[in-house]
Amino acid sequence: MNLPAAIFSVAVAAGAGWAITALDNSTRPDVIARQLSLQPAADPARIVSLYAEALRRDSASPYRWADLGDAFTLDNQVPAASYCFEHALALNRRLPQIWLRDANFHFQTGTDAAALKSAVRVLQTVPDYDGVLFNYFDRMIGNPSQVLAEIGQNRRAAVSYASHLIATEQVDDARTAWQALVASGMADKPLAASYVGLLLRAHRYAAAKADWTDFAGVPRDPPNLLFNGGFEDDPSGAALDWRIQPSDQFETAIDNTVAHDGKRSLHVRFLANANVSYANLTQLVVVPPGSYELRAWVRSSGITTNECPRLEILDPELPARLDLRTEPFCGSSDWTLVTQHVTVPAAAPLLAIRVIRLASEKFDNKIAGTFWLDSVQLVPY
Amino acid sequence: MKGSRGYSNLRRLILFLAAASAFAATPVASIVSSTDFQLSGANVIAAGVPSWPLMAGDTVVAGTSTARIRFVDGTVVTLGPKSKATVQEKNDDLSLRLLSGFLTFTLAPNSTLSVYSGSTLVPAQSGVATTAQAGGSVANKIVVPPPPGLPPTLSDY
Repeated sequence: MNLPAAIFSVAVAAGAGWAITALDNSTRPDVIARQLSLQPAADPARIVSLYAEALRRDSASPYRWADLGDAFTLDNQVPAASYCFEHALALNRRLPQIWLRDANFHFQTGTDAAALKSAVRVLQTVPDYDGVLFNYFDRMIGNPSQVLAEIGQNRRAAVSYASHLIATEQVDDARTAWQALVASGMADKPLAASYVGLLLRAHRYAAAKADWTDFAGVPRDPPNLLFNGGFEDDPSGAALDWRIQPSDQFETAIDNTVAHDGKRSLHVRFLANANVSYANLTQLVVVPPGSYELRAWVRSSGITTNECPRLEILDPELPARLDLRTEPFCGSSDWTLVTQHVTVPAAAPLLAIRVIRLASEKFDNKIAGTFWLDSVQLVPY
Repeated sequence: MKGSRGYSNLRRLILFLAAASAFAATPVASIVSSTDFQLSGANVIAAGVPSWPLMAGDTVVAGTSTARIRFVDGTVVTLGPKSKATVQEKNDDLSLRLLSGFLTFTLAPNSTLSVYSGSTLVPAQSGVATTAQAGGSVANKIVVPPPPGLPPTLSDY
């Protein structure tokens, strides 16, 4: 073997040896420390020393500073831990993971206000940790006003937080959050729909009506108790507005080409492919006890079968208490005013106004034709 | 042991902080996992954030790897992959209830933590690793701690 080849071989062997050592995770102090920290009765001081060595080898890494901060926390050296997390953030203020570790440190040491600040920085950066952080807020902060004040004008985070409070059915906190979002102009229709749904499920009918009408910009006690009775606005999805459940057996949609009043109406088009049991257009309305009249303009074209569309007034909590139906609208007819008187008892503060079609028991039962609805009103009688 | 003193001090600190705060719940443990897991219904992304606070009332569902729970008294619980457990506190008594899967735990000296498998209390003594399976068996083995100065085994890292 000639000399250059021998030197090359030795260099390759030395490089391989160095690489094996350098790439062997089992010798890295942070790896050893992490493993040691999982042992029962591990010595916190030794974990600190291992992470300190890891930091000495890579002092520019915010992760190594955060590791040492975690170790100091475990060793009850809170000021030293705090210094490490501050240093980690000073090295990089854009990494959500470092803010998150700082937040977890503050949660663990009871400095919740500082934890909230860091956690909100995470929320303002990425949505990935919303769920777990909101759970921490529920347990450790407990004040939605404080959380929203910290979130500030970050609409994504604020709406996500309010959605969490709604989804977890924290009614009072959700209401606080909702009102804050409305005041700051960050509330939107999808959030309104889920929020109103929460209040109705919690039987907070007066609050649901008040908050919905305030959001929708209509008077709290309008002459017509129904919202969007002329279908001039697209349904918001809220229960106190028209709600449409789609189906492939019929079409329920706003009709821009036909109207009794205004520019639009609503049509239900039956496709002659099924014996439809229809109850797919509903609006809930909060009413004080008393006497009311439902008024609506209806039109039909080629409605077949013996069971045809009707309007229904229902107590959704207990249908046996109140369930009134108009006569069915069959065949073809031009716009016709339909009225239905209803007396609302004190025990039924919520009504459902629906379009229904019962399934037919006849052989020829696949309904076809179109039904239009416009200018729907519920007024004191 | 020095380690026990450290945990004891940390526990005292946390109890003090708990008393200082009228509302806030206090973490009773921290959880570590190398893969994503669920904490009280929320998905937790483990990458880059090794340790998460755990409070009484929390329910943990481990991901595809084990999840290690270290209580403030030093008790360590290893929750099996996809296993589910909940931390409960009643009258200042802390307990961990295995709901599905399996776990192994080693009580720290003087630990008052109770571990249940479903509604059955799992008998255990400090320093002895105990494995429990939901609705199934319990096994114990003596844990010999590694001698001081030597790194622990990395086989399960």
